Amino acid sequence: MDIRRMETQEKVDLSRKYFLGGCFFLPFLWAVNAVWFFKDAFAKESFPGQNKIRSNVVKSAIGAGIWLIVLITWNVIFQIKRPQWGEFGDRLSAIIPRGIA
Amino acid sequence: MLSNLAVPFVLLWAGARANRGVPVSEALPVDFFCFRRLNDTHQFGCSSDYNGNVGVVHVVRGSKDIEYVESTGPPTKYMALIDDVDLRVDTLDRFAKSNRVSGVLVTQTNKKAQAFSIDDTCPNRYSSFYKGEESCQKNKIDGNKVSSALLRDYPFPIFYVNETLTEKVIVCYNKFNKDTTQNSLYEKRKCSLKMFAPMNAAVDSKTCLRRTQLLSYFTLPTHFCDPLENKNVFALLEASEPAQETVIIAARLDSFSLFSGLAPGADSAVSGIVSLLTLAEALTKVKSSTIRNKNILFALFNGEAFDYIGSSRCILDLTNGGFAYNLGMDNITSIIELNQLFLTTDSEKNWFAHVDAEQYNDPEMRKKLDAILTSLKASGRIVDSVDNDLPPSSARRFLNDKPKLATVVLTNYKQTFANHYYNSIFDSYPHRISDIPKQSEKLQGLLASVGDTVLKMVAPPGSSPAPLEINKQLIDDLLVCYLRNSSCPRFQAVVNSISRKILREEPHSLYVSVSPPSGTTSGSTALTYLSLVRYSGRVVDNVTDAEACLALHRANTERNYTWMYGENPKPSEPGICVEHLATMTTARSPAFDSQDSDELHYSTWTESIWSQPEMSLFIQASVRSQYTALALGFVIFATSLLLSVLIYRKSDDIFEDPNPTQTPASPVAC
Repeated sequence: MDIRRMETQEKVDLSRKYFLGGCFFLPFLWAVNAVWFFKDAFAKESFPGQNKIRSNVVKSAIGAGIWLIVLITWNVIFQIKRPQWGEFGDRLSAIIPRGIA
Repeated sequence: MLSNLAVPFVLLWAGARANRGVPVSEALPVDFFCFRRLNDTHQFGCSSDYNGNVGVVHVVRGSKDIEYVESTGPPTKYMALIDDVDLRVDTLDRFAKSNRVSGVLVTQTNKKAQAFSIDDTCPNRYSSFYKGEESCQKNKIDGNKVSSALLRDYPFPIFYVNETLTEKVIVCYNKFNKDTTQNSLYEKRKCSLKMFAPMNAAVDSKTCLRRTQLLSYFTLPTHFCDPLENKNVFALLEASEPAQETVIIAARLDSFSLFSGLAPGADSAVSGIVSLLTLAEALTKVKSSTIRNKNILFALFNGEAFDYIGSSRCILDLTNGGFAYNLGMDNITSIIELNQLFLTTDSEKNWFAHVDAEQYNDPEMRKKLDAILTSLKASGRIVDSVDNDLPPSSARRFLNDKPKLATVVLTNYKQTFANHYYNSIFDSYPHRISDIPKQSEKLQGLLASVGDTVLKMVAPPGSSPAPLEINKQLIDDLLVCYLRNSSCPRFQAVVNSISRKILREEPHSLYVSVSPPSGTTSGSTALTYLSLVRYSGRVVDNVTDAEACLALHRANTERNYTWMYGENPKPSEPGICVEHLATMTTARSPAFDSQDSDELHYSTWTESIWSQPEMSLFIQASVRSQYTALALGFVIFATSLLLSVLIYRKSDDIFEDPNPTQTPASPVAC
């Protein structure tokens, strides 16, 4: 799909679908939405429905940003604390490291 | 300009290739290596990193060299090369603390250390039932610099190799590493070593066993650790008339060292095993006119060096009614243990019969113990010793479980071990014992006293059995079998066409190890079992093949029948069929089979799974040439980038246009 050739109304619908899809714990949809429609939302001359795209893009970007922070925080906590958690840490691990705590 | 630069580089590489006759990289065989063991709370032993450790070789001959490696040498990772007799726990600790040592290569020198025992000063400290530090110093030997090395965790691998291999490393070291100025690491190539021996398990036994279980749900097909496990060996000599009361004669089957596959255990275990086998032979031979009122159970416990694995399992089986021969704990009346028995110096003239002071103070028990001690002392070779704490022994475990069990432990020491190599690489021929015939003669005297005492213990009251005959030649031969060459005539006689593959030229390791593949038994345990079968059994006449021997067992399941070559196999009589009551039972700590075993001090030792250790010697380029190579890489990259841009810009001038009339406009804006 080449979004450069889409009608503006289709773009509005698509960005809305991506935003709603992202609400179901799919942060990558939000991230894609924010990147794809950034130019349409902010860089292009105004056209009907641009405000809707803009709001979808902003909400998606904020949502994806929050997800990113949460995931990084969890990753850091997990990497640092896993050895101390003992059994709980092992159960959370898909690949248990060899030879270390 | 480029060609001007390239000439010196080419020369430099040519120089790096010529390693003065030493191959650039050479794989070396790893004979023995230190590995990781774990208990309830800690990990012990050694491990390399996941991808192996690399370091610059440094030969450690004195304190100067230790300091060099630790701090004064150029900052890098070192591989320390050290002689086995120079090995010290404090040196290894300094290496670990400095964080500059990536491995230790220990050389087998055949020199004799003054004292060398890697076990705790109080062996099996945490399963000892005697509290108080004072009493628990049996293995505190003056001059033992490796004391408690078993209970340390080193972050680098330690390999134990022969002198020829070390010689190769030293030649390389002398050629490249002798220049020890601060700058030499930067300017010169260095002789380096890579050691690879990563361990899978970590933290403690609980963690590694849990991880092994968790893994079955996931992807990796690896495995972390296994409980220490082997077999106990028993044989029953029945009373003249069926009887329940039983006397145990015990010894331990295992020993260990810091290195895998190397556990000679000469005094630690072999002295007891050989004595027990000889006693079994003598007592089995006794004429049927000598009446025995009680059974005699010959018991060889395995895994005793790791918190009494075998004896605690046997006690549990006896108590639960799961033991062989329908024996229960109530049937056992006394236990005599043969512990460490070599008398090697002239000042050592007699053995000690240890009894527990608390038991000895009980009037009823004192009567029983005195009867045993009086008989033991009769020959003048054994002296009694009433101790506040019995020597570390399987018998001590039994006594703790059944305070009314008359318990005697026979040893060659009174307070602290006479054996300065308890559980180590030096507890071997020729370090611990060099004159085998002389030693057998001494043991013959001891075993005569012990045998007579046992006969009196099982005889009906008032009778006096004839003195027992001990076969000195058997002691002699068996000591050679266990200490020098396991492919000896005595062992050749007890194997058959299938089991003969366990025979080999070197002595077998006595380490308890982990559960072997099903249907197999470790070499030392199997040979001990077969010897006990031979010496406690009876040859069945007129059976000339293995099939017929096996058929006898089907006809009489009460007894076991084993087919073996015998002392002199002939084409007409290819072997002998032995009827016996010997058996092997699992020696695995009850801690791994039951849930609520924490308070019972059961052994929790496990051994890590490892990848096959490897070692290679190679010449590491100098830091300067490493930087040069890196810089050269950057230069080449930048040059080629520049060149492509220039060529692209000037492409119209350089390349002739093949079809000048049809040239379209360039589709890409640059």
